[in-house]
Amino acid sequence: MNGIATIRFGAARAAVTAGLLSLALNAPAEAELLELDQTIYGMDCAPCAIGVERRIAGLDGVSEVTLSLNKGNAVATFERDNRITLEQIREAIRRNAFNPREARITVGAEIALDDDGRRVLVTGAGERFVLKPDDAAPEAFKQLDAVGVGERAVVTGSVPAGKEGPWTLAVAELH
Amino acid sequence: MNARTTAHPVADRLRPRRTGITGISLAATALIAGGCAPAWGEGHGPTFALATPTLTQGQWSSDTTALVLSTTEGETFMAGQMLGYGITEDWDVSLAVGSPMVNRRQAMPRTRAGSMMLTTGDQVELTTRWRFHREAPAVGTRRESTLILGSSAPYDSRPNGMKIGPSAHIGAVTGYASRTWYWWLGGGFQRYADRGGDRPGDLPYLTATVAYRPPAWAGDFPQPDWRVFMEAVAEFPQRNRMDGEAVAESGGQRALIGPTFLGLFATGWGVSGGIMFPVHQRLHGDQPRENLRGRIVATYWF
Repeated sequence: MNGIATIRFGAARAAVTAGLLSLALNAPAEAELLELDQTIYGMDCAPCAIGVERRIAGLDGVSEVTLSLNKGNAVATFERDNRITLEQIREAIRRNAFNPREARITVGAEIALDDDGRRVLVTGAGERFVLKPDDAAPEAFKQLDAVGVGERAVVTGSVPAGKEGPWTLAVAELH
Repeated sequence: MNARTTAHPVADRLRPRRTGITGISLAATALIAGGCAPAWGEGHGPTFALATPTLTQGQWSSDTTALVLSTTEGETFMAGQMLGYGITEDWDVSLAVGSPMVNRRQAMPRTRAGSMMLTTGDQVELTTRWRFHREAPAVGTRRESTLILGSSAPYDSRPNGMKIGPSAHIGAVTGYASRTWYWWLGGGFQRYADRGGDRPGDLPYLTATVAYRPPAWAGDFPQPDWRVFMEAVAEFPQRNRMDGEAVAESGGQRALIGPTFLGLFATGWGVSGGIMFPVHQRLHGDQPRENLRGRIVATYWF
C-alpha cells in the first residue's frame, strides 16, 4: 500500500509540476498584469519623471503610465493579453538610476500550485507571483479557497522591493 | 612659478586696451586661457556650480547658453552649445563648442566653474561624468557623488598671439537632492599643456550650492518644476606663462556668490539662470576686477 501511495503521490506531484511548467511556458493569453502602482525612491525633478515615464511607456503592452514626483510613484495600466513583467518595469526604473520599492499590482491569471504546494499566479510572460495573506486584509486570501486550481482569479496586492521573481504577492483584494 | 615683477614684452599685449579687434582677441585669449562658466547638462541643477546628476541611459540633452562677464574694463558676452548623451544610468558624455565672443571693452579675468570645460573662445570640449556613488533612501531623495573628467582643444590655437594648447580637467562633486532642499559641494582642477612656452595658469576651484523649492512651487509632475539656488564659486588661478615666463598681471583669487533659478517642464525643456557677485578678489597686478557674472541656459532632453 505504501508503495502505491508513494507512486500516486509522486504522479500527482509530477502532474502539478508539469502543469506549472506548462503554465510558465505556454500561459493562457488572459494571464497578465492589469494595473501597477510602483513606488520609486530618488526622483526629485521633472527630467527624472520624464525619463522614467518614457522608458516605461516604451515597453510593449503598456497602455498608459503616469508619474508623480510628490508621491514618488508610477501608475500604469496595460493592454489586454500583454506579456509585460514587473521585473521589466523595475529594470526600466533602475536604468534611470532610481530605486523601485514596493508595488501594488492587479494581476489576472489561473491559480496554480508550486512545488511547495503554495498557490501562485503565473502571467502570460511566465512571471510568477506566490500568493500570501496581506496582514491588513487576511480575509481576501481566505476567499481564494473558493477558487480552484486551474481557475482564473484577479487579485490585487502588494509586492515588496526586489530585483527578480518569483515575487511574493500579499493578497489584499480578490475581484 | 616665478612671476616677473616687470611686465613681459609679450605680456604687455595682455594689458588693458580699448575695444577693436585686438581687444576682442585679447578677451578671447583671456577667456580661453581662463575659461568661463560652462554649458553642461545643468538642467538638473545649478547654473554656475558643480552638481551630481548625469543623463539617464540612452537620454540626449541639448544645452544652449549665454554668458556675460562684467568687469571694471567692460562686458563680454558669449554663447555656447553642448550635446550630451547618457551611456549608462550613471555615466554620460558631452561635447561642447564655444562661440566667438562679443567683447565690449577688455580682457576678462580668468574664471571658470562647472563640470564642463570652457565653452567659449574657440574651443571644443569633451567631458565625461561618472556617478560613482548613489543612494535613494526615500521618495524624492538622493545622495550621490560624481567624478568629472574633461579635455578641451582650441580650434584657433593662437587667437591673439598667446599660443593655446589643449587642456585637461578633473572635478568631483557630492551632494543631496530632495523635493524641498538640495546641496552640492564640489571642486576641480584644470591644467593647460604648454605650447611654445605659453600656457594659461592652472586653475583650482571650489563650488557650493544650496537650493530650495518652496511648498507653493512643489506642484506635481507634469506641472512646471521650479526652485531657487544660492551658489558660490571660489577660483584660484595661477599665473599664465608666455615665452616661458610667468605673467605678472595674471592669476590671483576670487570668490563669488549669487542667486540663481531653475525651471523644468514636462515638455522636456528646462531653463536656468542667475547672477553672481564677487565677495572677494585678490588679483595679481593691474587686472580688471569682476563686477558681475550672469548666465542663462536653455536645456532640452530627448
